[in-house]
Amino acid sequence: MGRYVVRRLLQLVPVFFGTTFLIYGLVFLLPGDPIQRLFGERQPDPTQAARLRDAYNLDDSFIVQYLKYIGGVLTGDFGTTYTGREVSQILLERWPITLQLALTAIVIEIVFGIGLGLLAGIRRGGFADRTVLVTTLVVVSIPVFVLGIVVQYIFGVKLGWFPATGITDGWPMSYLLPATVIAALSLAYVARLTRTSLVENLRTDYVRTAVAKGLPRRRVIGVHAFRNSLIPVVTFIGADLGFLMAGAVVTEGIFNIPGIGNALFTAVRLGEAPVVVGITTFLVVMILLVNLLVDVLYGVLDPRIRYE
Amino acid sequence: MSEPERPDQGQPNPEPRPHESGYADDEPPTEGFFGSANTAVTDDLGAAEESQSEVPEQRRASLRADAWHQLRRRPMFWFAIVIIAVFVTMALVPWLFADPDAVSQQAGACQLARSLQPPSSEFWFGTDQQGCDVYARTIYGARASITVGVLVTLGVSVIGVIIGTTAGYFGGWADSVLSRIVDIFFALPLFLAGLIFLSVLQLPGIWGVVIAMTLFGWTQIARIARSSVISTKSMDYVQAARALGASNDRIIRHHVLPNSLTPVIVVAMISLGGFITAEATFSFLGIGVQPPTISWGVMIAEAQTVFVSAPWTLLFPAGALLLTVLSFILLGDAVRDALDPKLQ
Repeated sequence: MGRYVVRRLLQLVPVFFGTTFLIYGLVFLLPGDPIQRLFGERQPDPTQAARLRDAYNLDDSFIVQYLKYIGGVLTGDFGTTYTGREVSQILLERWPITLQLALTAIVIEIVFGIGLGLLAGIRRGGFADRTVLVTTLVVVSIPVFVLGIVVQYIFGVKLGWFPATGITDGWPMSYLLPATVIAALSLAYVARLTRTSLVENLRTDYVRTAVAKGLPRRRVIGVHAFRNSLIPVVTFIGADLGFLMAGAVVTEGIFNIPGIGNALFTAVRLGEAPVVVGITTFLVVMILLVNLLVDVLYGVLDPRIRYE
Repeated sequence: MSEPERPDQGQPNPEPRPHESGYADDEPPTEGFFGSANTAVTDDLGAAEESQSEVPEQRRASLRADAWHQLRRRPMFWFAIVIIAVFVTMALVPWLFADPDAVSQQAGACQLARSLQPPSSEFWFGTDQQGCDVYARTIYGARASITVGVLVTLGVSVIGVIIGTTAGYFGGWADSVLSRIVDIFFALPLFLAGLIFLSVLQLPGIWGVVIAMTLFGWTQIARIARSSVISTKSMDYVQAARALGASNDRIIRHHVLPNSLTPVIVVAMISLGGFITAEATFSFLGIGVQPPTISWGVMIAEAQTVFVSAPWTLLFPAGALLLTVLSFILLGDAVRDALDPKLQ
């Protein structure tokens, strides 16, 4: 187990440097003046331009620039906004909200995704199965932002069951609606994956044996088939965090939840590229770390992984 | 590839791996697990893999013919084909569906005087805040979405197949280096990488979105092509070709590629819908397709503020988007099920 963790950590190192290099290179290695690019179509103010030159060490060679940037990332420095606020300050203020939202979304995804998948998989071809298949397919085809706008209108404005914007009502009321929107796409995949996996497992020899020796149906499905069906589902949920974050950016923007995603949403809309770069770097590093955690957990769940 | 294997980001995976054989098993329940068609597929697989030019025509066509036979009987396949045909026609020749003057600024298509009118016989889908005809804009918006989807899918397929085939066929250090590169690009979620790329480089029209998504969207195809090539490489007919002195180039082009492309094509088809969604999302955020190019994403973004009083401004472009994406997913699913005997 220990060796597995160490190996995964070592694998993370080149990926960490590679992704940060890509992000940095996108902004600073492409032809043209990077400062002008960070300002987009606006004319950079000379003092701000000078400050940014200094902040990004643009007078050094590219490798030195990159290393200084990496040093910054490792010590928690993700750059500053045009008005001089530190991005790390914004992240620090906002991450509890995004974390709450993301955890709520994951719980919804797991409970409803696996639940619906079970419901569909147990009676393959039945009414529940067909309903779940069709609904999930439609959900997969709806872009998150459309779902967000429509759900906000129906449940927030028209029916008034949940607050339509902001987090003034606190957890859970203010979080349920946006978390459901974020979770919807992954939930649909989890349901389909659980169903397929369960259907496959119900055909295996050991399930037939369990049925043959007279175990009650509940035990056959619950213990023999279901537990084994969960392995691909757990992997999927872990690997899906990037998607979840993408959903969070748009959804926090629509529901005006003051989390990290909303900061990124606003920065994109205002064209504040340094903030976009800083927050994205942070998110990518977080996703890498969480994926590592999931892989390690997966090694605990599935003994076959450990001895590879 | 790093283990443990992860299913590639939210996409059905056509490879018959033990635990993750695709998320969308839409097989009609009326068919038995071991129906006659399935055995035929399994038997014909060997024949299809030998399908070089020397093999008689009848045997060569068998896997495809069988897949076609399966596809033909599925209503979902026909549903998808019809919808896709309609939208592709819309993208190619939109003037068949709506007068081009209805979307041109010069012809005075948008008049503030008739802002936010509900659907009527004159404006089938109503008008938006600027007083533009939503029906005409929905029709003309198909082009951006379909073009982006098709171009990105072609782009990622070419890059992914080249990298995946090189890594899988040559193995060794080429595989190690390329697989690390794939890992790095894979760790950058398409959406986040696209956000940076598009907010830093502002390219006009659809090109920014196409380049961004092609640049960061190829990893899934590369991984699938790699594993598909690795399994094809060890086939007897590849060994035979090598024993006969065929060059690597010839083996790859005539033996490995034709026999390892099926899973790539299926995944490419399914992800086309995802690319269309991504384009709309970027356009919604204001960094994708820029006005005056008409795009469903831009229309939905504009409709967001008036949606409460004028739902038609949002529902029609969103509906068109949903139908397009849904049809590509359905088509990909159907083709995957027909081509992959192990899933049945």
